[in-house]
Amino acid sequence: MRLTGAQILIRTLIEQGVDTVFGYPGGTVINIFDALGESEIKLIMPSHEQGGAHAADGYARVSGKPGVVIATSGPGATNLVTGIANAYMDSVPLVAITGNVVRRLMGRDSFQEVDICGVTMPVTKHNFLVQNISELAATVKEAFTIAVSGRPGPVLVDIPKDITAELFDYVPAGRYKVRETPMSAQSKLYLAADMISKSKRPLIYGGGGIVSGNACEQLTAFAERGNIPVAASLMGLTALPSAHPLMLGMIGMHGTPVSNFAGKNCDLLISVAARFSDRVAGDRKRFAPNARLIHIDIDPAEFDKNVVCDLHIRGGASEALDELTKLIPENKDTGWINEIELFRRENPMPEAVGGEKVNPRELLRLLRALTDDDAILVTDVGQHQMWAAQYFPFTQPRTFITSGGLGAMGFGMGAAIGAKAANPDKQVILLTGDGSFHMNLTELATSVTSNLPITVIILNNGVLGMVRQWQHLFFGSRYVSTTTGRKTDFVKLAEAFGAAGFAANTAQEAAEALKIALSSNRTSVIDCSADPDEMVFPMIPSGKSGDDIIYGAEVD
Amino acid sequence: MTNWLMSLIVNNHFGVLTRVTGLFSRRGYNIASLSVGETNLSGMSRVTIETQAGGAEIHQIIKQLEKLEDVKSVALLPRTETIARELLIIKLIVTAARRDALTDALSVYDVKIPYEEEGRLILEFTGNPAECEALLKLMDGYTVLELCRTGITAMSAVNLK
Ligand SMILES: Cc1ncc(C[n+]2csc(CCOP(=O)(O)OP(=O)(O)O)c2C)c(N)n1
Ligand SMILES: [Mg+2]
Repeated sequence: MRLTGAQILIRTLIEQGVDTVFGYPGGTVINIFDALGESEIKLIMPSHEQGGAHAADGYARVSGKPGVVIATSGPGATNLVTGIANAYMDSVPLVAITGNVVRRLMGRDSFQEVDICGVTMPVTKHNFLVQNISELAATVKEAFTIAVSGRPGPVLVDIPKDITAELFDYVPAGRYKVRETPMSAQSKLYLAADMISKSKRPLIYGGGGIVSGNACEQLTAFAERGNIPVAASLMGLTALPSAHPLMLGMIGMHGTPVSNFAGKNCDLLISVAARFSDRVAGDRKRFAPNARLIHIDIDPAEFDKNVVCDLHIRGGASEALDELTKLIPENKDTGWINEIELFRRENPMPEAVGGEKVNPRELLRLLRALTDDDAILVTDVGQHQMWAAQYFPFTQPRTFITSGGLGAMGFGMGAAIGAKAANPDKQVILLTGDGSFHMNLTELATSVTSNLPITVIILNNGVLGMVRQWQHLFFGSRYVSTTTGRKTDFVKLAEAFGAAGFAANTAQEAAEALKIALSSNRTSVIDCSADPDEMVFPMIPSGKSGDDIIYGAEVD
Repeated sequence: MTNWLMSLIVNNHFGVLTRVTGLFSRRGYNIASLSVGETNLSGMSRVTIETQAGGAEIHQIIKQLEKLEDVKSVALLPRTETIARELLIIKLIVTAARRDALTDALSVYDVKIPYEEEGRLILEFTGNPAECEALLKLMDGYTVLELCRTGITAMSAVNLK
């Protein structure tokens, strides 16, 4: 069958199991959109390509399937870059498809020509410039294979416009298959099991790979059998329900006191699908200083990259944990757990203390009470994000969507839309900050127009709170550029976009608005007025260790 | 810091060298020398890289390289039993008075002189890295106008056995 390159592309996407794409049109992808228009694929158009990339990312995180975003050449392609980098840092399977100028104009600085393969080389697992239509279908399939295999990540396929118009014999490429990662030798698992059974104070440090690798059940079984507490990275927070007795919460810079206590005092740390980032192991030399370390990861390049470990096991989290659970004895010793419990009781997280306005800690508890168990909480970046990580009781995997590695303000709107597209029946709540929301609030239009209703809660402290907190603590309270003084009326703004707007000055008002918003099935924005002086604690300053925790500070 | 020689088999695509060198600069690894050429394997090139790195870092470099889709294999070459060669081409000024002394000094090396005219000549030499360094040292006493080095290319002899 003779088809155009654009038609071959769309057929190949469908063969890969794609039913939804986020795409923004333009000159070099006009053929692709023409073919999309006549296909069964659901096309969601963002306001800005960055929003589209974040949406594809959010879609992938929630569904576990690769997200797809399409953009035109030049500015369309460069607008994707933050979204691609974000997916790269958080190991999210994403396929970005860009148009480029026709081949005979390439390399001549033609209109809207950008070497997007060159630009995205450092932030993709791989990228392709399709040079011949005969390679198109196989290249697209290979892009999916790479995106999902091993440690997932983004792949970009750049297609010159003339290839999308050219006719070629269509031969189905078939569905991608995940390339399996071989596991380390069984002897390593025996060694690990031996270390675990001899340990008196073991700790699991769980990362995002447990969630993305669908290994949460395996983690639960392993932790329960070995009676091993779990401290999670930001990305790993939904690996075990917050209420599980063995769950200690987040570890690292803004981690819970008990997680960092356990990190400091464990005699064996088992890292599962985590990468010892500087936000976890601020001082690489003093992380888990009293412990032997086991590192389980699907990506061997993570071994000894940041923290040197005693034993490395290469493999997917679910297989590795399954095997280990079989090998370790059931542990009835409660000494370590009791010690941890005692510490936890004596060193709780800071409590919500009233104030005139909407208290962030109280807001997060309210949010849990008012939302379904399987509601998806998306955040932006800043203090509000850390409070969500610290205070929102997570119940299910893949229900906390946040920009971890890149820390990209503006991620939230797109990601929430993507999450809703993946799961139209679940409640999707975006907790954002006034600063972050300003970055990509134009995606409100997408949410409204594409009928993907989300509830946006702005924790509006009127400041770039997280940076301001650093200025307060480390720069003599010189608040340069963080007191924004913006006059944006978020209620009117919401209404202007066709969404519902609410203003809340107290937690009670926020709760009332939330109830209406959640039951309305409309895109809603709740502007919660918050105290600019509130800070995120505990805090281990950058580069420091668990010995240097700050539990609080006075505001002058 | 140790000197390492590694040999990569990569897809012979456009952009592959950028991926390899980009990885080195991005992660702060150092490239002391690099050479690329086709191989007997169709569609494959060999990249030989000399790098200075600590023992832990060299493992990081190898694992990061192995993650590149276009890199098919990465091998650290053994210190002995490796045939490592570099080609030097040197253009220098030699006055008539010193011409004989130069010939004497070069006699221990298998140096060719493919081009010579009044007071100027071009030397061509292929040798292992140590010989190349020694020859370059010798050049200190002369006015070198231009110098080219290909970078090391190398092959392990271990799998001959
Ligand atoms: C794109 C981007 N630019 C800058 C930063 C640096 N930064 C980190 S947190 C933050 C403040 C965020 O402000 P807001 O969204 O209001 O959240 P808050 O901390 O006040 O809760 C800034 C500027 C960033 N993370 N991302
Ligand atoms: Mg703010």
